[in-house]
Amino acid sequence: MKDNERATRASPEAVAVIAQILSLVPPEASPSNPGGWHLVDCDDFKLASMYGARQ
Amino acid sequence: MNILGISCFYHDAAACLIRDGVVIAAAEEERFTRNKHDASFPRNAITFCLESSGVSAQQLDGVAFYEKPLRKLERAISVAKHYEAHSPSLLNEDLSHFLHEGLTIEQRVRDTLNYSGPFFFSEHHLSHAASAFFGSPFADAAILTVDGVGEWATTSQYIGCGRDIRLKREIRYPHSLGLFYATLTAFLGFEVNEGEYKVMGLAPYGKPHFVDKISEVLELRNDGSFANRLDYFAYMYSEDKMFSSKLVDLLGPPRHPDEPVTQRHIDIAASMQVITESAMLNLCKSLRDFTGSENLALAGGVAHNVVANARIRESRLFKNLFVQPASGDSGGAIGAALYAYHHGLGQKRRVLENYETCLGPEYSDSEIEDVLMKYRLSYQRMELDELTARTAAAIHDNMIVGWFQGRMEFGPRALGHRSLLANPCNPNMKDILNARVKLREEFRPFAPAVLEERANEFFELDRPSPFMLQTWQVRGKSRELIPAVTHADGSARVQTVSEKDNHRFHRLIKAFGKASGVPVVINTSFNVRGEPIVCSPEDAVRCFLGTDIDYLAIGSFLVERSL
Repeated sequence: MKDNERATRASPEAVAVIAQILSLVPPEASPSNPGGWHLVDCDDFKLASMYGARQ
Repeated sequence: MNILGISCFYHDAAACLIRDGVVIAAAEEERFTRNKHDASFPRNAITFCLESSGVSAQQLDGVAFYEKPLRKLERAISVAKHYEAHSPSLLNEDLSHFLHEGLTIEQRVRDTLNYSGPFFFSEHHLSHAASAFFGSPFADAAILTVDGVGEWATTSQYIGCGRDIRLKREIRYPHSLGLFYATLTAFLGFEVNEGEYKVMGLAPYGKPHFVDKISEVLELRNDGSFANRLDYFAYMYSEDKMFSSKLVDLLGPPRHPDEPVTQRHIDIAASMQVITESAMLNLCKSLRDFTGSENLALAGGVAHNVVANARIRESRLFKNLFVQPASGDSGGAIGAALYAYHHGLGQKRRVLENYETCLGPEYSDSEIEDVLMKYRLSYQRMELDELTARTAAAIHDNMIVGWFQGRMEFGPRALGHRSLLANPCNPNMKDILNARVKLREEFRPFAPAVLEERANEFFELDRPSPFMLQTWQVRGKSRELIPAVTHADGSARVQTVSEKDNHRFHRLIKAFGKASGVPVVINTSFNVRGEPIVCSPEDAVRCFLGTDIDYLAIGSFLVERSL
């Protein structure tokens, strides 16, 4: 197997573009949530997806 | 049907191989690279799992990763944007990490293994839940997972039934019991993701004088949930600080890692342990109330808090409790693979009576002898009866023995395959072990391994405890008999050892019992501070030669330092 490759830093331009693209998608949750329970009731975890939003 | 499970890129990278719903191989990457908590792509662990199982990558029916990298990235971006004013560089760091690691995982596996079959992404907490539920002997159960953070979830409650796992509700980042504990661990001057065990060991020496103040930091709610009071924390936006100045205003100055531990620090440790136990009991009670289940399956890093686990058991909220022995992220590899087996590939579940943790590499006598010869050690080869009798006699003579037998354990505990053993009856043995090998803080307890059939004589124990995942009280009359494994509060992190599950170790403890009258030994991990548990015979020999271990019982060989 190949050796691990240590991450190098992303360029500021790449950071800005990716952040902008991803900001178009409403996130599943928010860092300003008030804590406590979020009711979900889900048994489909969309195994094929590396995102797999539950909404 | 073979499935490879992988966890990596945060801490404790690991791989496992599931065959027909049963874990047949598993190992943490750190054991091969000798880099503790190694988070890197687990190429050594993957190679071990495939080779030891006789499976090529092309014969795999699936590969499962333990979390969803894109959703984790979403959280990182949301948090970085939210706290941009605090830390403009946070997003860059996180993004680099994801672009080069998490987001590349599928392609990396395909390229590295030349694999073209199905690839599955579990969720972080789902992986923990599956590792606990499918590892348990329960056909149905309530499932609780609690850790620092996965994608968004930090605490989740599920219902498991047959092969199905249904997520009912969760608490989301930045509200986190695991990060609460980690923050106070950092406040007390210990390393996050390493020092939590130390804080737990410190707590019984203290009084919970700070409970009222620390209750300000973590709000426990009547519905069983909680919320972190975020102005006491900094982990959301700081790369190197877990707590804010407001926590310092509340609790006084934090401890520097080089400072001595004072009674104030100990009392803070006692107080945060009390709050953590209350939070866990609240979570369990709410879970019991809405599931009505009498079985609880528990996982996630907080499930390594053995004292909290004992409180859950003592509460009798659930009749039966199964804690996943590898509750941290390494165990996520197992959960992801098991979930993919049942749901990605639609296979039926076999409920297992016994859970196996010794899933790592093992070495033949011939391989071991080659290493002993390479290092020019004097050794004797002997049958098991003589090996256990001689080893037991050495332990009885207050010698420290490295015990290297069979397959390496998976998870953080050494359970009699890669262990250091010593005499629990000697009140000075904890200090001797620390001075000569372990170099641990003096307040940390050592754990006992006891014959399962005689455990109840020495401990207030009503069921087997094969994985050291809960504490039990040492019986009053036994505390003087085994002082080296009795903690300040009279408890011990007991491992019960059965003839059926751990034949060689059982034989040894029995021989020690014959010599001493007490079928209990000190069992601590075979390593020195800062290093992973030994994996190979060469690791064991190096540790033996680099410390003051007196004997090494390795395979069929006994090596004595003085020879």
